[in-house]
Amino acid sequence: MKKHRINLPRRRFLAGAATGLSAGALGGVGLGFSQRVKAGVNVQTKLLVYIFLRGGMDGLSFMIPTAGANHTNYFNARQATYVDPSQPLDLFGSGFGLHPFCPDLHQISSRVAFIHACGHPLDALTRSHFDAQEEIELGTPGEQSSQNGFIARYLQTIAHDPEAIFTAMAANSSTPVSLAGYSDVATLESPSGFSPNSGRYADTHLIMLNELYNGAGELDLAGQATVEAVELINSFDLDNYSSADPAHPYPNTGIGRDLALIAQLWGLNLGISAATVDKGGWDTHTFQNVLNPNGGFGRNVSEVSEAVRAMYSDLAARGRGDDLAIIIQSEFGRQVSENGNFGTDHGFGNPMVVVGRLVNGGVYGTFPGIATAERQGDAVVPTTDFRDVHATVFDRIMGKGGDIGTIFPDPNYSYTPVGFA
Amino acid sequence: MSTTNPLSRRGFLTAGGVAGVTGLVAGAGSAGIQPRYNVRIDGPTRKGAVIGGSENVELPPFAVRVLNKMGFGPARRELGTVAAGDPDVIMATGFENLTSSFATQDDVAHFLALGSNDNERLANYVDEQLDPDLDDSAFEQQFAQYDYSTLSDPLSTAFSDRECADFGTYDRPRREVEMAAFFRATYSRRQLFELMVDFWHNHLNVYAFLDRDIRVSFASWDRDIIRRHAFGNFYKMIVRSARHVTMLRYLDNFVNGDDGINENYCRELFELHCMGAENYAGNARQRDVEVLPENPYAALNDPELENPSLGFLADPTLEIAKFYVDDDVLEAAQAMSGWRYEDLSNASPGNCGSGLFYADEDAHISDATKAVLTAGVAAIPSNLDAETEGRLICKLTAYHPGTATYVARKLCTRLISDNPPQSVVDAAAQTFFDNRRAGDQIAKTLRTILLSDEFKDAANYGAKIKRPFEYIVSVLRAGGCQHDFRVGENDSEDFLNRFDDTAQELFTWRTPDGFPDYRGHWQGASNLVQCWRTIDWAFDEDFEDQDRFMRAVSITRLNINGNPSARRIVEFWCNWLFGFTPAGSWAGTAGTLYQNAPTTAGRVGLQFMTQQGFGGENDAAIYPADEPIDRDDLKTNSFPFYWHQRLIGLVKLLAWSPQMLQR
Repeated sequence: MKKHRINLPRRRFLAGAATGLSAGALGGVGLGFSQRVKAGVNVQTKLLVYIFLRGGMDGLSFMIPTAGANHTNYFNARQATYVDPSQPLDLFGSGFGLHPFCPDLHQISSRVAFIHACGHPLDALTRSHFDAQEEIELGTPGEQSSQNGFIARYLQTIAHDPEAIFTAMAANSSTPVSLAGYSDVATLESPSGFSPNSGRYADTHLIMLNELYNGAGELDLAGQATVEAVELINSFDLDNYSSADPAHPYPNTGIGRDLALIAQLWGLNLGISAATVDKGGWDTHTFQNVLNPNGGFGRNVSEVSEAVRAMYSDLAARGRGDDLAIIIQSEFGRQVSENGNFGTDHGFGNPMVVVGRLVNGGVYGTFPGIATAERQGDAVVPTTDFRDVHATVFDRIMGKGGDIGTIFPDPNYSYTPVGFA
Repeated sequence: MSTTNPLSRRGFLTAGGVAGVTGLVAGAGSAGIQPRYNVRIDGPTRKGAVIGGSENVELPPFAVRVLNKMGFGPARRELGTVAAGDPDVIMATGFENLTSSFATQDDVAHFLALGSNDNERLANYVDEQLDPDLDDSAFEQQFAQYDYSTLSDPLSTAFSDRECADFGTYDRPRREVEMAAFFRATYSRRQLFELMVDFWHNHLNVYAFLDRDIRVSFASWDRDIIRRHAFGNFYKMIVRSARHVTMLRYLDNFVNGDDGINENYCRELFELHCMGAENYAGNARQRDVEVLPENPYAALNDPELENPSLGFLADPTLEIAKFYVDDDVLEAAQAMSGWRYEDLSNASPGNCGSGLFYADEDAHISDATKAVLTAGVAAIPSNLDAETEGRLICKLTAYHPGTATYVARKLCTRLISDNPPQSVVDAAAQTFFDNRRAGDQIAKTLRTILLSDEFKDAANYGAKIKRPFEYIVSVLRAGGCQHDFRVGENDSEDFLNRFDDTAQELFTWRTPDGFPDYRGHWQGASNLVQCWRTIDWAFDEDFEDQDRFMRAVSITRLNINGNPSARRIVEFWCNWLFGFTPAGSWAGTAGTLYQNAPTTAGRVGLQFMTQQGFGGENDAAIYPADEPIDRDDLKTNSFPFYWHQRLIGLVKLLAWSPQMLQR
């Protein structure tokens, strides 16, 4: 079972509230959050969930060519990682099928956009995990000098409710680059045992910790945020949350628990507008295990499918489906040709997925073909700038069409809507 | 086409005697393909504005700064000296030191005795720390009492005894390495060495839980690769790591062969082990990449690189690329194909393998010439054997000037600051580059860094926070840890289980880049709370609780005669944990209010010890700051003062403070 850990940001309003926090004024630790949370902070927001599949997902094993030349070329390039065309779940008669372990995602496909061959622009291709992830999350392909991530810039375009407890969260132990430069991020990995000292003097310890870190330095803010986090988290009942759609419960997997935690905290109306989730295990250089339900790629895609569907159904059942958009992305695809180790090496273009009730389900973008001559460095050539997918979500679902230039400031980038919303 | 440096080779020679690595790497023409950035910044500038560390920290004296930067902080056995001051101020010199048996082991006192001024002391301390014969016998005897037998098992024995056995048996070597890391860092006098062992474990990161082969071989990896070369020669560390089962398995080079290229290892050899992403020029063509002004292998006197039958890679007329591109990785992967280790599958029945390296010439791609860092010229001839060809790749990467700057930057980041000044990076890179074939290349590079003005500069203190491993060990050292770590012993295991909730369970970083080394990664609430919980666990909640590692009340009673006041206890413990007393004391003069204490730690400590200002309803009764406390009451947890837990609570608070967390 995944251990959860928690990290909350320094909230902006606390700077003002801090004067009220002198220990003498407190009877017991009352840093202010518990009461407000219990009273209900009514901050309804839209929610962007950004799921990053770290390691480079093999898109050809996810959206599988099932017909025509694409299938023939795929068949010729793959053996151990080959999936017979009878197995994938048909995607709108497009000649591509969804991995057979994704029935949950397939059932809601009328609200899922599958975008072919997304990636970096052709003059900025990279096969480095680090470079590719960094540049995607900064939203600046070919460039790594930005001080903030693309979700951070999106969040900065929102007029957050001053009542918000925090406005972004990462289901991780540290802040991902997509949220870099945004100070109001809670990193949450687990609700239990979250206290420096739970015995005698626990309360005065928290008050004194707040005093030890009462400066304005970076570490001081981190220390104060930690103390606040302890109190805030201990005021929630975070272990008892379940989907409002009992037919599709959250699976007891890492990503399932992450999405449930996000749904719960968002549902508390704390003001969260964006959340990130990482799922690793996609760097399948050896033994990719495409059709193994118990491990490798097969299990990975089934976990993503099941968890994403659970969240979609939960929020829909709570009447908040229109407020949700989920983007699923990996840093690159893999080579078309299988390697000698039943796996695949780093490639370029890869499908992206967007889920939400405001999404018109379908297959979008252009598949460039995978005949040998159509590949670059044996990889799928990207045909859709990944920023176009993000920008379409911001524009058509989040209502931020006027801010695309702020979110993706590269003067050489011009937004082309992808059309799924 | 490639460009040439405007400076002629002669210009370099006359200017510096030796071609400067800085000149080789930086500032050449701007034509040609460039990397995406020159300096990788993934530190606080990326994660948020640099405001600096805590504002509530007193700058320690030079000795304490050095001990915090060059190791896991001072181990306290004797109170540090302080300048004379106001006679009303309770100064550390006022405490009686009853622990004479430990007197010679106090790190601060030891450092101060090494010379008559800071520079002299530092030079002597660096000499001592880099001396392979540094006397560490006290710890070695302590260590030798316990069963760490897998740490000395030859690799083949580890395999034959454990590879086919149950979990506890095959995991034992990894677990011993993990446990020993805490034991050694806490007690060994070789502090710089242990810090560098941790550094290289992250530089050549391996996710130890990946596979049984890695668990079994991990003691050999720690001993034969990391520890053996931690102060040694970088190329040797690289080439031996490349041949070692642990790395062959972790980055898949053991399956790289003519039936399928697997580039995983070679990509990280370039990107993480040697040249760094800062020297990666992406998907460009090899011949479009800018070349170095001169062949950096020409002056090495390496017989293999000068051997015509091996391609004469040291040929002064051969152009060498300044950066690497994808094709360099792919061609290197071909060259390094066929490297294998003896495993179950290729051993005879009943034989569990040896983990030993061998070259499978049948799997080696030998029929092609290869171009690796040679500007598109296929300089490596065909038909070389697998071992030789792989070795050439390690030399081309490890000896490249880009490697010198990248590794130097990482070392400076570890030892000085998250964003170290370029001046010291350049100086360290130069030393690294000039000593590429020296057996003590890394030690020489460390010396350059540690004796630099940038390292000594007080402005660079507090530029980092301790990662959980350093943080917890530094508290154990300062807090008088009295525990011998050993595998299978309940308290040691409990400790590790608690520590593993921090964000740094050792050897479990999955991706090959190692645990991050910038403060932004570690100052999240999740990690801080778990670090504080680990510290909370490690102190005895009841007097002399043998299940815990630190006995703060006993230390207090050993070092203070009579019945101490709360202020006296605060003053003592600030000095003991932080290693010094600032001018004017921590907790202020007798008779003054806690609010007026001159330091944050002293003020907070005094308020906590006296429990003033909490409305009297939190746990325990208030007590005057300067009233004596019966020394025997300190041992008890009884109403209304709960002195034992209160005193322990004070020590924990101080250990949780930013004063303790920064380095």
